[in-house]
Amino acid sequence: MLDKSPKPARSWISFPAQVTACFLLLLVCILVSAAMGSMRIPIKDVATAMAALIFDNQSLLAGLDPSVYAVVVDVRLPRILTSAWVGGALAVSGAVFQGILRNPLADPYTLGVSAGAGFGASLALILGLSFGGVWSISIFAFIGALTSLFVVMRLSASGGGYSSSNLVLSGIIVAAILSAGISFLKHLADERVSVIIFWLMGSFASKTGTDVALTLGFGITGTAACIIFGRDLNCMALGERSASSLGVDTGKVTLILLITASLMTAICVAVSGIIGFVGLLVPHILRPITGPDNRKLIPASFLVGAILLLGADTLTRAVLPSEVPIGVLTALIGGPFFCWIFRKRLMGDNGHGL
Amino acid sequence: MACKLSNVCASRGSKTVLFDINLNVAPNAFYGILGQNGSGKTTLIDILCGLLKPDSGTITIADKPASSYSRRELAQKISLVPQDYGISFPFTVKEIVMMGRHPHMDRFSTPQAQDLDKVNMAMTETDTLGFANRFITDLSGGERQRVVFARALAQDAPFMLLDEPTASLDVRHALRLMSGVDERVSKKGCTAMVVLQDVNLAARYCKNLIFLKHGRIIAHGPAEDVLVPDVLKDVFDIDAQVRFEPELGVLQVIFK
Repeated sequence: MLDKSPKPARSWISFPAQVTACFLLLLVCILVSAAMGSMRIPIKDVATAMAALIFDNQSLLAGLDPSVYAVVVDVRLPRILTSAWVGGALAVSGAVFQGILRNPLADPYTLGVSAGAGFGASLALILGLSFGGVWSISIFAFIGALTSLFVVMRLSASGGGYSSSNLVLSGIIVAAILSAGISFLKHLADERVSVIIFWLMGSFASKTGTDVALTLGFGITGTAACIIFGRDLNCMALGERSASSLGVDTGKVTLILLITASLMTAICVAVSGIIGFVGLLVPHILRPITGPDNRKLIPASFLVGAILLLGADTLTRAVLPSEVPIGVLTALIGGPFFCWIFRKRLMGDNGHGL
Repeated sequence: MACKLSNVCASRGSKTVLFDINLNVAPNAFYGILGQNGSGKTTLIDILCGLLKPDSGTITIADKPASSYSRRELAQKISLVPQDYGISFPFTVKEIVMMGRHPHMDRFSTPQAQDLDKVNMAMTETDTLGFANRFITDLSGGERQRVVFARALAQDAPFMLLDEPTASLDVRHALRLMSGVDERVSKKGCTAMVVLQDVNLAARYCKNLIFLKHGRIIAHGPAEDVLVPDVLKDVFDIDAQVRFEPELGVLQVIFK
């Protein structure tokens, strides 16, 4: 193409190279994180233990302290992998919420979706509905997430679009009501209250292979579904009328993607409690690098979300002198970042957006 | 491509804005839609491209009822240049124009040579190649409007709907856009329908004019028949004189 204008700043390395780099970085993070903790394990031994697990070959473990394999495979890996997949799923749902609502401030946390899932899950915990283990909590979380998303969208809808201020305000209103609801549930819970409190603050401690499988399964399936509709989502950045005139069935795409993103959020909340700001932060960091094309942004968000939340969880697990709940840590880091975005948009050229 | 509206009524929310519209859109013709603000021009466009369902009446597109088309099939036949062109994320101009190929590309396919050609042609025609790699969010209103027009050209549909496409363009680009549409009509057999505020720009290019008032068609037909002081008085409540410009062979309006 005859094109004299300079290339956009973001294309300094190609997208396949970016994804490969992120993937390798994630693998390195998993290895390093598994080596860190109260018991220090050489990276070489971690790699050997993982190889034995992956290739199902116990003979590789010859000459290795048996406790190393137990610590790496049974204790650390489930926690590490769960935190990575939860980070990835939250980042993808953030990117999808932002794309559908055409609003860079949207994420499961600011939209009250996390609070809805939290309320639903607390309800399941207090009613003692543990018949299906993490599954029953997941279902309640999903119903709570969808209901609160629906209420927030009904509250903020005005003339076909969702303005930033309306969405964020509605999200705050709904989250405030829900947090009162959660307090009420805690009040009812009596001696079981500590279960809810610890779970709500978010934690990856004592995760099992089931949690890993659940988060990976829903994370990968959900992400794939979102990528399939990536080009439609791109067109929707032009507004609903333009997207429809380009042949996008906006109603169908919106419904499918909102349900997918809410389901991913609900699974994450059910497994690890409310972890905020990952969904807001990650797409923001990535958009200047990958560009806003959702077919690139969504897979990259999954990988970078995984790296970031794994990093944060490793920080609280193995670096900090005592363990800070992961939800508290991400809010402490992400909150100021949210303020910065908010301020930048307020000062920016499109001040009408807020 | 022919298109026919019979007894169409439509509403926005609870308010009825179009009443009993009967319109035969002939293939290979260039229509201008004129009328005061709020007279139903945009609603008529929305009805034609299937964004709004009529309350009653029937719409036929290429001899088939409009409701029998999927969104994608409609997008292959009808392109739209909307009035609002706010774009939320920093896509490059080239990416935006490429979105015009969306209804022609399979879900997982990458742009083919034909798609790239159409995009390149659309950008050349609209004078937007010079900022192909700039972010849409960094452009001025007029530049953005040209990019949106380029996207509609890349969509390459036989029926083009344009809703005030020249609103923020300078005179040169406004004329260029109108003659670009005119060329598609006269040389490529397209049908075009343009909503305009500028009566003289409409008179200069559109062979057929449609006047709307309070949601009804007041006058409709070849410009030389309907562009008369009485109609302008009725539609806009203004006093005007209509003159024939022999050099261009068109009518022009002088406002008193």
